[in-house]
Amino acid sequence: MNKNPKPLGWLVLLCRVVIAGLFIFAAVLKLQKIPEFALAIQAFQIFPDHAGHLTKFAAYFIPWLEIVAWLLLLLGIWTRASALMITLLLGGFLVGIVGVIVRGLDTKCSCFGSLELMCQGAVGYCHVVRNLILMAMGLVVVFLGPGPLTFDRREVR
Amino acid sequence: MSNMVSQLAVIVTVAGCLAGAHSFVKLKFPILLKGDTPALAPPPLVDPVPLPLKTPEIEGNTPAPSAAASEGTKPTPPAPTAAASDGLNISIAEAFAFFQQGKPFIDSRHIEEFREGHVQNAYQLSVDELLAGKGLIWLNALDKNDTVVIYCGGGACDASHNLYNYLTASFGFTRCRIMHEGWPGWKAAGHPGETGDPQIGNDQ
Repeated sequence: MNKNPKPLGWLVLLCRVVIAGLFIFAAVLKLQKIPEFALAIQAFQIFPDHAGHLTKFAAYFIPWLEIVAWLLLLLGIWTRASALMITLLLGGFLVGIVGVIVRGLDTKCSCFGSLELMCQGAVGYCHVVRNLILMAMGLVVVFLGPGPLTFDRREVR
Repeated sequence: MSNMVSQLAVIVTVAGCLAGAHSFVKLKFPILLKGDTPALAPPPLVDPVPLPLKTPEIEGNTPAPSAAASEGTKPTPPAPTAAASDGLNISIAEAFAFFQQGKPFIDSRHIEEFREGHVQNAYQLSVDELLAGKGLIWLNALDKNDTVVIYCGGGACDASHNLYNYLTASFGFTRCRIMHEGWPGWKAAGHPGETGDPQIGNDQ
């Protein structure tokens, strides 16, 4: 395990912990309420009504992807890859959120289950900003490396 | 770079396997979406009390059922309108007839929207609340073989369809109808409405 972090390493560690904490929180809330999450995905109108199987698959897949990425990110195993995975996932969420805003749909985010963390009410620009902040934190880990307290070999640049 | 791509592939594969395994676990409530055709099959077209005759020129302000209708004779099919009844989705006029008959109305929007205005004496129950086990006391007190009118924000609103799916598939309701134009249509027609909390809360 890397025990000699460089100054920026602590920033990376902070980003890892914040993202990992939020994602395990979000994943568990979604897994507890799979049907509700499926309905939330449906409300985003990403898939057509006749492609409900895709919505159902996403309702199971997204929380598990969050959990796998969270575990790797927290333990510092494949840290950059898991951070990139989370960043891509957040990018997907961002596309969905922007799509809701552009089409003028009135729906809640359900990003953290029934809790409205940081942003309340219907999907709006607050959710865009929140996702961009989280994506920036993910990119810090991707570009600066795994940081301290990791099983990965690479040092912080 | 290729190393990271292969790691991403492994992460996605592992998550996919876990999700696949999880999908075999029986959920307390099934996933019922708008496009699930079996659950959206229209209820029987014959009501205990026939639907009222529709008068297109006073859409949204239909009088009580005629004497002929109340005697059980076959009602004249309603004239086609923008929101024509298909057995499941009903117009404001048909919903108002049910209202006059004292049929229960369920507002499937969230409580914040309900408080701003709703059909008089309507219950409030969003699908999220239903799946969380709320509202079951009054819901179980309703006659599941009688007409229940569900509505939401009208138009592209999915909430009433989602609630309809669960009430029919998981709670045994057989005669649910959806007031397609929702609260905005009801309000525009000038039918009785009110604001504030529901008379019977979901925690009771």
